[in-house]
Amino acid sequence: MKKAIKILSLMLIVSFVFGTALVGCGSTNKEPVKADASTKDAADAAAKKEPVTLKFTYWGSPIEKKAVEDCVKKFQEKNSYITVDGMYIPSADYLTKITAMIAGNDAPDLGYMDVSMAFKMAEEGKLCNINDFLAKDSELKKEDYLDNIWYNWAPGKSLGTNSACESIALLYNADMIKAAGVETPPTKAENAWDWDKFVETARKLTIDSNGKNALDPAFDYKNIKQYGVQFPTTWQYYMPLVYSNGGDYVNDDGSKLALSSKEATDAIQNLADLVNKYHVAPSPVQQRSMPAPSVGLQSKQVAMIIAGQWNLLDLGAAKLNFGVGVLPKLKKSVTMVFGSPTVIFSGGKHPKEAWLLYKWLQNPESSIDLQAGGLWMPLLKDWYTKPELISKWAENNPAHPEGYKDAIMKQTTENGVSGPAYYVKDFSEIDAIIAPALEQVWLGNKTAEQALKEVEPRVQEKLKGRYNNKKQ
Amino acid sequence: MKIIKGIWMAFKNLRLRSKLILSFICLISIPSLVIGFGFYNTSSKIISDNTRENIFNIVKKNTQIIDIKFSRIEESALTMVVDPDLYRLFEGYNAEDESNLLRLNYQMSVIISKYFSMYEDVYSAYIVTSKFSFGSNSKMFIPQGAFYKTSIYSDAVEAKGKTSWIRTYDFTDMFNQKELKNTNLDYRYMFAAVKLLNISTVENQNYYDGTYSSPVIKSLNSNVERPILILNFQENIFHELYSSSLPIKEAVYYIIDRQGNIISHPDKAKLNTKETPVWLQEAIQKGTGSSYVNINGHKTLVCYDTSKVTGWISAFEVPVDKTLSSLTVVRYYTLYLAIGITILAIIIAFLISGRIVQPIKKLLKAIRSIGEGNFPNRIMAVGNDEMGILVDNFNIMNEKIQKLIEENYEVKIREKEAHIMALNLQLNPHFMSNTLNTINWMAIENNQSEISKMIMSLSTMLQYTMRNTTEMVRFKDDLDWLKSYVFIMKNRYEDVFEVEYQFDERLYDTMVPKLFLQPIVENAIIHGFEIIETGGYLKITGSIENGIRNFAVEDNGKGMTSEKILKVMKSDENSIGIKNIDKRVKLLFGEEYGLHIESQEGKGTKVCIRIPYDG
Repeated sequence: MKKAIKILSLMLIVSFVFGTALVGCGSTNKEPVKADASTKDAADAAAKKEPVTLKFTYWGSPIEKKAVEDCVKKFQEKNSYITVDGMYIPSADYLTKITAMIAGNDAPDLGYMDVSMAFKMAEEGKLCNINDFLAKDSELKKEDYLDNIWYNWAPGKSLGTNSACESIALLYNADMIKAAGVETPPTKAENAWDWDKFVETARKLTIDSNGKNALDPAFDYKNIKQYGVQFPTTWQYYMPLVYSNGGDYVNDDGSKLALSSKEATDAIQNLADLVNKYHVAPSPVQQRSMPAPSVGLQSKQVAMIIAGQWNLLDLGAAKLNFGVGVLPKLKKSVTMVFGSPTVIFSGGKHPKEAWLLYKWLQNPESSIDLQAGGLWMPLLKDWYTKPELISKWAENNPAHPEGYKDAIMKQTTENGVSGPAYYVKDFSEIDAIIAPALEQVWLGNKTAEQALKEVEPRVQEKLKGRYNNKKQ
Repeated sequence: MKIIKGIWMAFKNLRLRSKLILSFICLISIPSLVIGFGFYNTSSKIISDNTRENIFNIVKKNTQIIDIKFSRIEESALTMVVDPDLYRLFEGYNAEDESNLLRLNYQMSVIISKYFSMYEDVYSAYIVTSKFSFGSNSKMFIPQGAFYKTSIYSDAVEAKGKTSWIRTYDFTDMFNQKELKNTNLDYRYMFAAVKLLNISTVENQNYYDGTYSSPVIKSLNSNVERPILILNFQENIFHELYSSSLPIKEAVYYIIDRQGNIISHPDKAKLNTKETPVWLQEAIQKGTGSSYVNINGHKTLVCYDTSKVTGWISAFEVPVDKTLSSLTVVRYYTLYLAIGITILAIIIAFLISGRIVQPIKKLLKAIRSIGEGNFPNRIMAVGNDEMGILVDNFNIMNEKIQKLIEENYEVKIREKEAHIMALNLQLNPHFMSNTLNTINWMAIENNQSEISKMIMSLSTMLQYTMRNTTEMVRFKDDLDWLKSYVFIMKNRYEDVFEVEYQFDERLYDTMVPKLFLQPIVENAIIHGFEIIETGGYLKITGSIENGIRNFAVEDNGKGMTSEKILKVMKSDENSIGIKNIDKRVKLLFGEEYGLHIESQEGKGTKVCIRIPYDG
């Protein structure tokens, strides 16, 4: 009996050992092999440099968000000791969030910024002077950048450049132009339409529900099926014409409102006439019931739009047969350059690394998808002049049709005027007075002169002068 | 039955080792297969139960998440209805002045964003009136005239101020925007919450002493148009939540209303279409639950739940065979384990059966050679187990059998030899005896006493051998016979030798092997006194010592060399008798007894016989 137990236990042990051996084989997890080059580099770099974490805040469309994420990822791969904590904040909440972060002593190292707020913060010493970084930088000089994209809050002091370069142009649906049998909008500044030519073309392109255009005496402006032109009524779209007519937002020292001067009011009135006199453009109220201009072009509700060049992204993606042209001129052919700055916050622990990321973000190469996609334009001069660089973004893609290089790229560098946000102090507050006043103009209730003269005293109170930026 | 019998017969005919191996394999692999099968079944049940519960929980959780979001949005909408600022804006609402509308839009947008901007899911929010849609146009727009012809509007009016949820609609169809059909719209498919805003407000009069008057409820003048709040949601919010929580990639989710209109589905082509999945009726009845249904011939698990806010049903369709993919791991694991155990069983069976069968094989071989009459040497026993004991016992038995056979066989032979010898001497004893008596009487008549004496001796000898056929005889009888024999031999050899007898009287009644001294005496006379003419001396003695009878026959004849003694003992045709006596004694009494010869050449020979004395 004893022997039997001995044998039994022996067999149990044997089977147990074999069993566990089998189980052991089955459940052996392979350690994921992850000895790729980048982690190896990271390890090497970490050995050399202290790890640094940067906080970077930004807004933008879903496409921008993804492009920025990729861009930041590449930056981290290249600088393995730097970790970038990229915070995407929807633009509606952006200023609130940033204000709260700064108040809570948790400011980011760098980030996108609203122009007016950026200037205020720079004056309070909360932002770094980008000139200081450039002076020490061996790779880049200030001259390498476009001239009209700098936000200088005092002589020699700059809070930075646009996050990307943007300007205004005339975009059109080529099929509609062809169907109406009108001339294609010119792409070269020297051929720019004068205002009458533009109005005439727009009238030909405006068609009512009976199929009659705006030049027809029987034209029914209450039942317009297709508008000749559409423009949003904010400052970005009337200021280019004001500049074209020799006007400005404020006078040279920023002490007086220039928008109420004749050059400016004429330009604004011309635009308002498109709506109320010629009925070739929808009013702000009518625009409420219309899709966004770039969609309007696709749906043939509008033939031409005065719009930001970033609309090329949507138009390119929609595979629309569209074209670009320079804006009509009043006295001279110009466009307006604007955007919003990316800034480096002072008081950050790692200004050197922040500058590295700043440069990286500004390098068109690292966000080439957005440049080639039509959303952004490069900030560096070389990308407008060197053919091998131009070919990387402004050629051979659906977002950059024929004529783009003249109508937008060249126009931006050669005839691009920095918008009022670059130099008018407290611009947001002033615009908050002017925009409602101009609404009366767009609706045809008042002339531009009337409306602007009315608000001039109130604006005058708010005027605090001009930042260093001279009119280009 | 026949087959079983056949298998049984086949099994019975197998060699022991094969039987053992087969048994071991069966004993180990059958339970392991049974356990494996049970294990597989149990785990598949547990896994499918768990999966069912898990998926059901995912669906429930998703519905909860959505419900929480939506009910908070509903609450915000509810609070907005009594917003005093909104009330004030609509109190003096003048739809005719367009610039007023634009100004109002700024203020309304602020109010709208106050209530809804924090909800990421709200794609766009508008307060719609017949003249103007208030709210931000940054993402989309509300086509002014078209809105009042939509089902969205009629649903909102019908709900009389309650929030109603509008299933996913195609923007271009709903608002009759044919021109936009071919454009890339971010807001092509949306679903919405709408609410007729019966704007009112509660005003508390604040007195200087810090008390409040009873609150005054104010409602919009009945002739003022009631605006409609529309909150648009992208179908994506369902898609993101549900597609990210799909348990497996083959699973499909549905957000569907009670009429079968699809609100969200991974296949965008199905949006805004109608479908009646097999489980829809059940889902409408039960509200929440799970069940197995057959979809296109595949057994499919459907888990569904109904939103308490929208009343929409969310469901997961999960192909069962795909859910149990983890089971294949279990299946293979069990299979491998069973195979492993079976292989192990075979190895163990070989080893163990080898150990069991090996001694049996040896035994068989031994038995076979015994059958042929060859008694093998001892078989080496292995270990102390039953097999070892069996081999040991076999060895003992083997030895005993050998001995028995020898005893039986050889005793018979000796007996026969003795008998034949006696018969030779007998040779018709009656005739001989009568003849000898007649001769005796004739000798007495002729006074030939010597002859008479010899004939009497011969007669006595004949009678003794004739009468006695047993192996053992009384020593006295045997001695009488021997004396007659010696008397005859003495006369034959004309007194070449003298004889002396010397016996312990106790010996006379003991039993001895018949005629056991005769061959020795004969040997002494014929060979010992071969060369002498006279003076030979023969001494026959018998004594008892320590329970042993010692008989001795001593002569002073020519003697023997030790080689000769050995030859005599090892049987030689001349002295077969002597060797025979030795063997007989040993057979009858044991190995320690027997015959012993001492001799010196020229001096004489002494032959001793030791026989046990009992009594």
